[in-house]
Amino acid sequence: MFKHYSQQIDKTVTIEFEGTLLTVPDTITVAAAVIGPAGQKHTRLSPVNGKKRAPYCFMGVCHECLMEIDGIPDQQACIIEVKEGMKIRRQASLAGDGE
Amino acid sequence: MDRVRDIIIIGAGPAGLSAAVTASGYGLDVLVLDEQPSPGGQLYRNIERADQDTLKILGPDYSKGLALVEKFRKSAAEYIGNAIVWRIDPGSNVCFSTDSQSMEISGKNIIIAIGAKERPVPFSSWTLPGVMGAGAVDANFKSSGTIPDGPVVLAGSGPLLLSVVGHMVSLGVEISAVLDTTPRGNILSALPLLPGALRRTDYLLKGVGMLLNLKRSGINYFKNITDYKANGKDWLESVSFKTKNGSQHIDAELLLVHEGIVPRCDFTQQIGLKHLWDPVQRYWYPETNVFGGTGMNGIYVAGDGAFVHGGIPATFKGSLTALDIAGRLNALSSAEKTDDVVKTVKKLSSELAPRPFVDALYKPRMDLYNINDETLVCRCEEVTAGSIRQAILEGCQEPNEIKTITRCGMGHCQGRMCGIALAEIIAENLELDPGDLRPLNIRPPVRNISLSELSRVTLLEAATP
Amino acid sequence: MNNVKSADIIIVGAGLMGASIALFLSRAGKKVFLLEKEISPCHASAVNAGGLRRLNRALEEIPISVAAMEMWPQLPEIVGSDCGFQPVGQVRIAPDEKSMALFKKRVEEVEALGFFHEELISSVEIKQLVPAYTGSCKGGIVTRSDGHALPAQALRAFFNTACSAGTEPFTRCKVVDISRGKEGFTVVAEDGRLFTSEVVINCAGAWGKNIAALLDDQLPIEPVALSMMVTARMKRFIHPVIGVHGRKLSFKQMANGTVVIGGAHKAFLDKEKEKTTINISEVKKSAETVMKYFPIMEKASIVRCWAGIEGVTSDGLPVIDQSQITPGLFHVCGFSAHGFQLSPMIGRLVSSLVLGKKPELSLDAFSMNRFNRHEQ
Repeated sequence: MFKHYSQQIDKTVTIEFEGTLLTVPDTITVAAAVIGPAGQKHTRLSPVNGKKRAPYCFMGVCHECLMEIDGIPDQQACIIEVKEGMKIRRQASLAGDGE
Repeated sequence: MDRVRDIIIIGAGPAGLSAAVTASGYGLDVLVLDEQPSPGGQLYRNIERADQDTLKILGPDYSKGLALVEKFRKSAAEYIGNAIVWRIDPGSNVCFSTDSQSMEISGKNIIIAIGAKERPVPFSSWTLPGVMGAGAVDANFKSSGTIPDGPVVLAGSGPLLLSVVGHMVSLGVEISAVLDTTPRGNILSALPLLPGALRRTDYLLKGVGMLLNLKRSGINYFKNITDYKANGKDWLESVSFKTKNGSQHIDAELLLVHEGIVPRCDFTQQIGLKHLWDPVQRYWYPETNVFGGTGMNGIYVAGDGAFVHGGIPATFKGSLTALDIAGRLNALSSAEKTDDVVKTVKKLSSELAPRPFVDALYKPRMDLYNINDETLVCRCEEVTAGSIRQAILEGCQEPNEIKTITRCGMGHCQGRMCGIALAEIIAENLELDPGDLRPLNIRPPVRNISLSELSRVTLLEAATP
Repeated sequence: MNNVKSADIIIVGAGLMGASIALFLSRAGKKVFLLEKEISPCHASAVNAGGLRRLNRALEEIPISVAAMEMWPQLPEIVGSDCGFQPVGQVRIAPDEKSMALFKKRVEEVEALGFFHEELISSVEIKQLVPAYTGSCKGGIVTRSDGHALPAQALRAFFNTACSAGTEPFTRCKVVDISRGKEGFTVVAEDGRLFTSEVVINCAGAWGKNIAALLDDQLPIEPVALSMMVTARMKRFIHPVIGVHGRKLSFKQMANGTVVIGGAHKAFLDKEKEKTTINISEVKKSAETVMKYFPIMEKASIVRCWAGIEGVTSDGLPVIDQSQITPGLFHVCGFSAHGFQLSPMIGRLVSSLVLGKKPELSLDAFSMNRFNRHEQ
């Protein structure tokens, strides 16, 4: 959905998104990396009904960007910058898990 | 790190930075906690790393922030970035998290300066990936340097919409259409307020300039449109809307919406301050005095979080808060204080001159919350307008009761996205004013933290001196 | 005085007890007014943790609790809603031999009263029922058809059904005075509204002491704020509601996957403003306890902490009695943070009591003069 504006990128880091390695600028946020260079359209599945969701506000309000980062779930990917070796995963939906 | 401070400021936008500069100038001990990695807030986001190209594209409204951030960096105020505050208690203690470690600290004074957000307005399929706030693409460009890839439709009303259109044009983003929902009648009700606004023709000309640029740019610009909605299965595929000539349909990769700006009341609601309803711009704001004082001992609200006036006024509001605290802590004489306050208030009121005109011109349209029953209001818990109306039919009247019954506002965002819409729906159904209702409670942790982090939080009692 | 409204019975407080009693009295043909100080019913009745527990009840409460438990599955017929009832069972774990010995004695006492809902189980069965529990365990007690429900839904259902049955509700109606004359009671609301009736029932929960004091009755009820926290939705890992003997822990996963954590951790309470503030060090302790016994919760996101206001008596049992000094005044309050489960049955019993019939079950243990006896 998004692409880099500048062709010139000074420093990069390597992150892992759903097991795939990805080289991205060191100043990009996790959410921007996922819907930008990682080529994804969604960052999470609704835990309620499994529908695809993507960041809405990009400023920490909407909580649509919650992802599992380095093993900790429910992290706001839009306000966290990437770090070398960071592991990012989408959270599974819990739809149908209820009683 | 010293865990008991004169002033703890939450947020490093125009208000927070200005308060920090002013207060530390009087020798007060200031700590700024900021959720971003570097100071600037939403307006001046990531400005320290912005290159010349970015400064040029975003223009003087953005680059003005450089001087403020520089002043702040030179001040004695301490800055902690990537710091997520998740609780303030009325005794002026603050809990925040950095790197999954939480700590409690204490401030003799706390300045809540967390600014504003775009007003979230539910519409059909607004949860599809590809639908975003217009401000979100600006934020994303400033932080991460990425821009929309593919055709974009912008919809809504307000100065920020026009400003984002301008940025998108400069960035070479393909714009399929701009859908302006500003009702034709607004200009008539705004006109009587124009004389006041003429005190600041610079601002008015800027607004006119943005509109002219838009019209000259050759972009598909639709005025007085209604009922825009998103279409698509798994993500946005197209946008439809109505004009006086009938329905239209435009393919798009992204739909960027903007329906005005409202204060972020996360903490003011969490600590239980009284909120008032602004009938013009239709939002809640915490009750404060001219200094941002709240009536709760040592708790201040500065900047757009107290009332939306914009970035420059926020800097003056931040200074006023700092002056009041400095006076109370005897860091300046009352004569000096009066002098500085008078000067600052004068500058502030000059900045605010055009505000009533702009607020009336971009008054939220009457049909803003004409939300059909199938539309999700609460994105976190997937609660539709229909189920809210059902709860109202069953006798619920209070936003907080509807929350406990329908789960609207019970998810991670704690009603930040649905709270105003919920109140508007209740008000419409019960023929009340939203101001008669109590806004949704926000509970600590204001940002979710893991149970493990909560069990390890370093509390003040346990702190070693 | 033509704006004075008259009813047979005035109930002060539209929490679950008030609504339940109103329902049964209206169905019995009485004209009932239900007076609520808030815009709509709320407080502890709406925001409690929702546990439905016969397990480990005070012996005095067991007959009512057992009868109430039979009503919960019938609520769709009684109030038109299942109130979110989930009969998933309640389990109480004995972490050591000493507590297991207490449990054995406890179950014998319950059985001696003729009740067999509490079942002693082995540590092996605990492991099967609660695989996520990693603390020490020497066995426990299970009540298999206990469970939990949704308090706000239950409250709304009882309130609405009472109103359809004829109860007339008055909200934003804070009672500031009650007097009794020859003609009966006169109840005065803060805004000047006047009501008269032959009977007044004090169902004011945490504020029951204040209402009683208007007619010179002393109730040893104190408002207490108890905090809870809730996680984001989690994959299902537990069914029954869990308590651990000697530990401040009550733990359940709701039908939607969220985990509600309680354990009687106190919050700060501003009685005047009726405002609660969580005590972060108590919340931290609660988190530590959960981590210790349920390591599966380590990464769970805490989404919210909150505290409800409960009316707690000096002996932890409710007051359900007619005033000794003011005939026609009844007190039904002080359920001490465990009234939710009892509420359907309380409506039935108190309506009999008020109508002058003998209640199906004895209410003697909940008399007011038990406190005087203790003093002497």
